[in-house]
Amino acid sequence: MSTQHTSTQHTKTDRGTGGSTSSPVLDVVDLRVRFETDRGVVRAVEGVTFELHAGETVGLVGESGSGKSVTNLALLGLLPRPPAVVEAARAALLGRDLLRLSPRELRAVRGREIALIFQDPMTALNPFLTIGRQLGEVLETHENATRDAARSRARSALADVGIPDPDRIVDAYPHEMSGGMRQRAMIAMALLCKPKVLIADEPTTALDVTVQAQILELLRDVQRRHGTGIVLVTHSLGVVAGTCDRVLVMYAGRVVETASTARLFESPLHPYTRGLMASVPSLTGDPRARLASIPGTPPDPAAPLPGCAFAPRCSVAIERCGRDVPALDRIVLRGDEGQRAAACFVAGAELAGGSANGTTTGAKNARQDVDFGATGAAP
Amino acid sequence: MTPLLSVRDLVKRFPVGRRGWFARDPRHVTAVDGVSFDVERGGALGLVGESGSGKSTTARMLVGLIEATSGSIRLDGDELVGLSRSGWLPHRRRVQMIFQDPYASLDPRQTVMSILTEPMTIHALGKPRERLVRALGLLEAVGLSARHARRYPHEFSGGQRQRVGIARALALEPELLVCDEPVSALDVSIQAQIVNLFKDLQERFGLAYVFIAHDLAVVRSLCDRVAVLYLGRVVEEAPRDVLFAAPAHPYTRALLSAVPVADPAVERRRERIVLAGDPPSPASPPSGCSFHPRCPVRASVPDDRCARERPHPLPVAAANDARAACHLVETSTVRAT
Amino acid sequence: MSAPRWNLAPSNVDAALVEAAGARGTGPWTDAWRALRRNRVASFALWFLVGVGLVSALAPLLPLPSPVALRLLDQPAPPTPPWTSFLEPGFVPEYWELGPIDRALVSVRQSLFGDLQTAHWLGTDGKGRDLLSRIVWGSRTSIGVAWMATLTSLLIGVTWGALAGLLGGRVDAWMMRVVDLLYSLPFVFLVIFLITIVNGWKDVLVGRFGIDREVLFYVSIGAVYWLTMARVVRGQVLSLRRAEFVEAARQMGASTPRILFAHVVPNVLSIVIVYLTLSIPAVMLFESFLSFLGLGIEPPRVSWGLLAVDGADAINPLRVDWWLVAGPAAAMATTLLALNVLGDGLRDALDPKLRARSGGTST
Repeated sequence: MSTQHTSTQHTKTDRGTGGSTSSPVLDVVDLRVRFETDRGVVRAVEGVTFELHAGETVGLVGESGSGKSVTNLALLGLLPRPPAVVEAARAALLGRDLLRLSPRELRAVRGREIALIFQDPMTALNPFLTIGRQLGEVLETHENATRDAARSRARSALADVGIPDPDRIVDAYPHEMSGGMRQRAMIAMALLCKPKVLIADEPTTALDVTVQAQILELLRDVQRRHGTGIVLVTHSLGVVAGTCDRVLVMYAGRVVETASTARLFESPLHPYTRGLMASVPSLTGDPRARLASIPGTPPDPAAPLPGCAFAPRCSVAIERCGRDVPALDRIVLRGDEGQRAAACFVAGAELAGGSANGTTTGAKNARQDVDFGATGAAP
Repeated sequence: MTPLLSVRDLVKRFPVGRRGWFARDPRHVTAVDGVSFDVERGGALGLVGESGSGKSTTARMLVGLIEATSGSIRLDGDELVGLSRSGWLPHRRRVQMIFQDPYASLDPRQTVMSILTEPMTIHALGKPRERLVRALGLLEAVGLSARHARRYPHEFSGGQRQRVGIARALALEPELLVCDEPVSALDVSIQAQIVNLFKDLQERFGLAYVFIAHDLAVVRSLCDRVAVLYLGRVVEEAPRDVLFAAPAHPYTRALLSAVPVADPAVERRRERIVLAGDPPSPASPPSGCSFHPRCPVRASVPDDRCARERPHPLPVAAANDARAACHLVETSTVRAT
Repeated sequence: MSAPRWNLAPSNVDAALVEAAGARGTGPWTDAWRALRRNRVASFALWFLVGVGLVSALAPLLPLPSPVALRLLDQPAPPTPPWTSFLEPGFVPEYWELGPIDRALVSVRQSLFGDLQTAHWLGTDGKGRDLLSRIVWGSRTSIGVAWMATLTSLLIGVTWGALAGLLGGRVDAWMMRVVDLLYSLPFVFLVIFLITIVNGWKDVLVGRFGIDREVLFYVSIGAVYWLTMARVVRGQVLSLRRAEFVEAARQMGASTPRILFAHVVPNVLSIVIVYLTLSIPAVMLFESFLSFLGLGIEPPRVSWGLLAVDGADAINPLRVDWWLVAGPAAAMATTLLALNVLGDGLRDALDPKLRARSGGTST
């Protein structure tokens, strides 16, 4: 039990990648979120720690059940509590603890200092109001702008995000716009008050590939111009490779690996990261080869098993993995691109010099792909 | 050898607009505007496109869920367009569909066993007593186990549900599977499992696929030919290696360059062709070449031909067995047989 | 019957069959039942209603006074609580015409309790009739009306709505136009109209077919109440038509009847059940209203509506016979409340969105 609560303070020090050496704009230490439902406790996030500096992009990568979206919602106070219970050693935005703010203060901070854009812009945009009105509302609330001033600023904000014909769009309704334009409008709305931190939760997953490229380009551009720190939540390794400076890989509510983007792709340490990278089909390489897949399915957050959450699916798991939970600072490497860490008892020593992809899994026969391995030991 | 599936000039127009007491001429939206392709026995064709490309509509026409407005779909020589519901019945055993959403494609009130035996019952396949055994065999073939047989869909994860959907499609022993984005709704690690499953099934049962996906990398790992659709038209169709190594059509090139690659070094270095604007809506298609408003190389064609004249897919001179619909691409005068 | 071509037997047939027989899943109905049980308020309402139903069904068996025995010279007597006087003699087996089962139950009651009946725990009315007994016997009528009317509305409404939803196009448009038209007519006038017509044919119907006034009453209400059910069912069917599992069934060659009965109806059932539970209170109130107007149940039969009438008459400046209002009102209020609570609980329990996406790991 005690290993589950080992603090991850070590990883706080010695950062300074991508952005500046100044203090971080967003500082999160040991964030935990659980949902107390009438069916029991669901532990969605179990100890997430990261820092975000100005002008830096941090990626949160994970699949369903990894807790990546819940992390952000918790930081912004968007989870209804109860049933959610949010705790953290520290969750500071520019020094102010987000979790101790009153609802009023929180409303003032949201939109002004920290903004969130969603996967589906239709959930953020009110279908009954024109785009101009919605953007104007933000300005009227946070900056006490007048209607006219708000409208003209809204118009220029839309132009800033590359919306063609902003004069027409200001008076348009969300359903009259395409998916890409709606996403841009949502980004414009998020950036209106020039927040220091932008949290983007799967902003391009629902978009076409060509539009996705445009939106990611827009985000990069915004960051260049305003020095915004961006937390990008995604399940796509390709998006991470192209936009993030640092990456946190999440699995079952925990961070299992963190590194700079370059180092992570060059030599992933955690078996999950390695498996994930090996299972993504690529545009190069032998197309006829079977994809090296990770057997089994992600765990159910309502019914966690003891030990490392990834152990049932892990090809190198040892006996200890079924008992104890490895802390993130199990393996810590310091390099010229900052620190990297992985929560694994086995990785590091064994894999540091070995093959960089999980072909061990792929080499086994096809049945292994579907062995749900509930017994826990390596297949 | 005649291909297993032969589609020629397939068109689908949907009426839009009010048909009320005052019946005006309804306007139409052309979702599929003259699509042609072949699929060989045991082969796999990838249909790639963005929203508005008509790929889903095409898929549904192939399995008879939507009636084509005009054109021809030949399954091993038998014409499928224009068949009545009873005319379709014998062909159902030869072509089946796999759906995108694993949460919506299974009836929540049926057990897995019932889901798998339903098609067998409808087509009176095998003796009733054997059907149970066959269903268990199907479960095994897709990587599930017999203890899943009497469970309900909501007790399964997305990947498992998709396996059930695949098993159901296989129950009728089809020759062709039309897969409409079957892995898009799944987690990355599960996607790989299902893609591998598709490969295995193809080998084991000699299936042919029409595989629709927006993820080009997935298409590449499964298909041997790829057709790129844009606004209801085929803009390029080529063998897989040709398409990915040397795409001819400017849209294909833009598409490929927009796909994020899981390699930071490549990402930082690469030349991105970022298209202006959004994919157009089929309700108001551009004139001439439907891609011309966004085409980065349109200016190279004299007389503004791209805005006036619609290009048709013609064999590409530089590549074997590839076709592209573009005024700019050099086509060969020798028609491929 | 066509012969299969592929060899699709599992590698170990016997083991597979044993495994399959062993594990049973929990269907959506079981799941919903469990969700309902977890909702304590709704569970309580359910058992309360079961209790009411039992008491109502077994009314002839209970040692209650006769609901119709008149003692016209009596003044209304206030309630005598059970601890003061539990049972007293004086039972007179007077009822309206009872069916054979009820008559049998009454004779069982007589042999069990003989002369005894409950003291007037809830008081009596101006004609000497025991209020508790009238409430219990009245519940039979009210509940009976509610059931019959709701079932009628269900039959008509589900058929109409499902057909409209499935057939779509012009047929759907016309069928819903009819619904819209009927909606715009005031219910009361419609029912009065129907009952009047039916009254004119009463002799024929009663004489030739043996259908009595009560049944016609039920059917008239039901014939008016099916409209909303039709709309609700049609909406559900429309959305189900687009559901991928319906598409899947169609593309595998399922006929329309099969799709309707095997796929659409079971998935519509949950919303029908919820709506049923929530429309029973409305029908009960409507029956009360009609009886209040004198168009409904006729004496000597009793229903909660008639009791409400009597209670209203009892309020005058000279005497305040509060029990004549309180008793029936309490009975009706608690029952309707329980029905509404149960309906809400059922809707929550049957809502697939609250549960389905948990994506359990079935191992």
